[in-house]
Amino acid sequence: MIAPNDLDINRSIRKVLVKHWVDLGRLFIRSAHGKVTIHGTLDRITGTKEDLSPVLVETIVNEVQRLHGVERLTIDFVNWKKHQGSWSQIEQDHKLIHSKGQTTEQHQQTSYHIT
Amino acid sequence: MKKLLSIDDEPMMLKCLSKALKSRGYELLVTTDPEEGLKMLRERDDICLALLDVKMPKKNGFEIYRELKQFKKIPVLFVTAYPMAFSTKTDSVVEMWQTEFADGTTDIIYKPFDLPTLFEKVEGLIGKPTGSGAKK
Repeated sequence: MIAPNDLDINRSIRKVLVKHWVDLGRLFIRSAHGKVTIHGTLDRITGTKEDLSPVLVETIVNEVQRLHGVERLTIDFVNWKKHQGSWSQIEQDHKLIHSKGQTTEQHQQTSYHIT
Repeated sequence: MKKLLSIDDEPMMLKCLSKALKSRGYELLVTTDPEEGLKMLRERDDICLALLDVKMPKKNGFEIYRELKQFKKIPVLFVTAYPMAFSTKTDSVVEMWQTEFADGTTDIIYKPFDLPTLFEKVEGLIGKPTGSGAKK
């Protein structure tokens, strides 16, 4: 079977995220030769009946991991961490939060802003 | 050079996007008029990504998106300052999420954003720019 290219992998990952009602605007996907990094805030879009649970996060990550072409997956969520095999939500300092998924710290990293 | 089209009612936003994406090696076509944007998307085959503002007075980004998806399958990046626009409390958003979004060719970027964020979103949908002016 021919390995999918990185854009195909990104597309497959977005399909998984959309299926689980994940807010795409707060997550970032990078694929390079099958090595995938997903970073940002993992949350559902507004109004979903159920918030993400540790089990659901594990399900999403496993689904991405199993996608054709994904050779290595690096996860760097702002608001979830895996500890001793299970996911837990990270307490966030709300003073730092400007808007969903964007913190003062992130804004200070670069000098160019488009508002 | 990969060509993108942005439809946004704010000329300043279009100017910023154009400058930013040009610096990265893309060519950005712009319009503040949704109908003109749809016409360009219909008539041109060289546009590989549409950037759509969500809140616009004449026709919102969701309406443009649904029209676009009827005649062309190209990736779309929604550009909005309103995360609440994507809410399951709105039936049309739910329907759109379950149909058009489900093919994985649509992404969202929330304003304000920095340039690396913009480039990451664009490149995640259409890849790195090619041709002269492209930055590696």
